[in-house]
Amino acid sequence: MIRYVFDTGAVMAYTHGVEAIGQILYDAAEDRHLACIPSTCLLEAYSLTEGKEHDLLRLLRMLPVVVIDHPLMNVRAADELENIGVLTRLSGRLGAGHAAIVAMASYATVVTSRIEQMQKALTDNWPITEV
Amino acid sequence: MKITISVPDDVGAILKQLPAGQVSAYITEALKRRQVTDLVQEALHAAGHRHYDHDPEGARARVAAARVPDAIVQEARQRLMQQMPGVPAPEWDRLWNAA
Repeated sequence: MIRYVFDTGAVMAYTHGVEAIGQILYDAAEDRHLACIPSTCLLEAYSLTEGKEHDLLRLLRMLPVVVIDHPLMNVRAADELENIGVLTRLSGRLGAGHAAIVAMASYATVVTSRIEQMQKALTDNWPITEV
Repeated sequence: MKITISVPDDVGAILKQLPAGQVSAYITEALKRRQVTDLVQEALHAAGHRHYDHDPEGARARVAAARVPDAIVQEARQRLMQQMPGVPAPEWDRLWNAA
């Protein structure tokens, strides 16, 4: 069960030792639920980091409490590409658009460093944890 | 694999209360949980995070609060659907059900 969606800033916050992210990941292990990282957020995080931080991202991806979301892209069935595109236009960033569709699908709190972008893609009252 | 272990009296009392044949499953489950928390602690330590103490009740309470209320989810979904008026309802159903 996905309880949190990590936007790009949350992924980077893990590599920087930010307390809120540590608590979320440890709670996931204790309570047996998942934190979801949209693949586009991972790509953005890789583009903004290097060296040792890339090693840490690899470690994060391998954790049993982390699941990576890839956009659904079956044009004849469930397809998220158009939705993510629209949400990207609303939020102003691809990772935020992808994180928003995952959050909507899984009823999950978003963890981000860009609250205003997520609110534009979701709603003003969507539960968001700022890091 | 069969292994003999020694446990403190209070832990032994818990195991003795379990139904017959359930002790191995109980211990296996506990060890798997511990393995996951250890892996997460290691990953956190590698990134410079502090050590987190065992607190399953606190975790449960924090996580329960993280589930987004249905009304808010429906509001966000409606907002998105209004941005895409050409998409028929069955496609939305397929999308939300696939998630």
